[in-house]
Amino acid sequence: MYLEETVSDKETQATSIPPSRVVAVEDQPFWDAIDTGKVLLARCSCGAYYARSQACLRCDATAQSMTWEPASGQGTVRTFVVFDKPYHPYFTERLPYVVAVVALTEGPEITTNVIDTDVANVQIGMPVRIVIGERGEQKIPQASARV
Amino acid sequence: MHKYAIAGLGVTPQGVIPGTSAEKLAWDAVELALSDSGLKRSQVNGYIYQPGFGERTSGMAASRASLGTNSTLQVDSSGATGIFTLIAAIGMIEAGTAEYVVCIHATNARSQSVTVGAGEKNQYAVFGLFSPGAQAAMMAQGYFHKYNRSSADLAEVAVALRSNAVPRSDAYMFNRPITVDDHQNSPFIVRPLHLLDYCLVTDGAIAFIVTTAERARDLKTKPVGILGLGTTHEVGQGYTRGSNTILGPVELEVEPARSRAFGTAGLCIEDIDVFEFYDAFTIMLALQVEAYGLCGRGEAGDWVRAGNVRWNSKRPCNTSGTLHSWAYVQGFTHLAEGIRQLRGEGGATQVPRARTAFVTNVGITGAGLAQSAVILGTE
Repeated sequence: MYLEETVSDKETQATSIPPSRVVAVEDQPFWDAIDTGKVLLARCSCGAYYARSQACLRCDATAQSMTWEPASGQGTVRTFVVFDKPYHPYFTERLPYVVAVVALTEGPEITTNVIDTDVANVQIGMPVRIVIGERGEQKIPQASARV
Repeated sequence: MHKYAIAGLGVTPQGVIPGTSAEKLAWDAVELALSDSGLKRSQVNGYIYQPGFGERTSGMAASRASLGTNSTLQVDSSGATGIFTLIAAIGMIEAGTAEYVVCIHATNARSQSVTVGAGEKNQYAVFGLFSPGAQAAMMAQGYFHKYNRSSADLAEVAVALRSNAVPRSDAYMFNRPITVDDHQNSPFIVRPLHLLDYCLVTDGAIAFIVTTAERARDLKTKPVGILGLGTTHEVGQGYTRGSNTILGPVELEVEPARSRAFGTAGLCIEDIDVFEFYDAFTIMLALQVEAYGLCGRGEAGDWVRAGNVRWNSKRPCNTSGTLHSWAYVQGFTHLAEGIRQLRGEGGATQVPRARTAFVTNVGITGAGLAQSAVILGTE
């Protein structure tokens, strides 16, 4: 048997309850904005952008000195994978689906799903537009292929 | 001249071992390492363990084995942990808190039917991103795109890894060769990775004893010198990382692990007789042979196809079949095989006159990719 060869029944029994968002307290502004339909990035006075709270790698500024500003919402697919089987029961009836790392125009990358296209059409380098999607009652950023 | 050495090795049977526990396997490995070194129980005064998948061990084996432990430490940097336990052991000895430190990892994930990654509760779960294999699949997809490569290149890695396990009676995949077609026909787990890109899940334990090179010379077993160590961790490279992204590197960065390990040892890669690269997924081995300069970027598939990796080739790597085909004791698997090769205990895949071994561990951690590397040498 190999790592991840089998997925037991408890993981595959379908449910409508999705996994919960896990939000670090320091990233709360990013997720509060998602809840109101906006994508924010942390902007340092030196011009560097971050999709999370962190000290600046370019100029050494503190995370607290940055401001959260609206992002363009434009990006490209940097890499992606396709799930054909569920590792959580919520996804049992939502297969196959794509999880991608999307590079935003401003520089930062986020993990998200590519939607509004067939799984077979997803390619590295394809342009995407960040939209607000729903996972049950939670809002999450999604990458739409309709740019 | 190196200051530290490995002076005892304990490797339990590996595979499907029902009716035991991770802690009992740990104890079994400690007893084997003790016996190999000739040390008295009371002399072993440091104990460092990686808790692992399945039942997580708690260090209880040190007390079951009645060791003279005055310092116990849990270390966990995922797949990179094995070599980090060596570093921690040297730290204990250098600090003057212990003289003989046993490092151990035990797992019974196979008997516990662990599905790695299933139902994880972390920041990726809401996007449906689960398992280390999915992170490795991200790397593979980027690699294929950048270098115009495909899964067929990783198939070569799988076939070569398996070919090293086939002659080894201690390997889980002993006498079970595979072909490129077998790899390509094996089911997708997370696309683009197939089942045969993944490592095994097995039960078993490995322990080794670290001490000074001077003390090691007085013990009954043949010591293996620790010539150089290096690590790297992506934690400092977060500029492009978002709030919920850990990795997806196509170009694996192995600095400063490489320059520190080779710099301390005073060796270059041409001086290495046998390589043991971390191989939780075939893509990891491909990225490492390229990053460490054994072949050019994007050329790993061709390089393996040309015959490298196989134990009797010019560039023997992963001589037991390691995680892919020997057994899954995370980074301890590679350390154990490196030690065995230098002691001449590599059995059917012993590399003739092996005097230096380069061993790597790689871990997918919450803070990015962790890598550790060690150069081992005969006395």
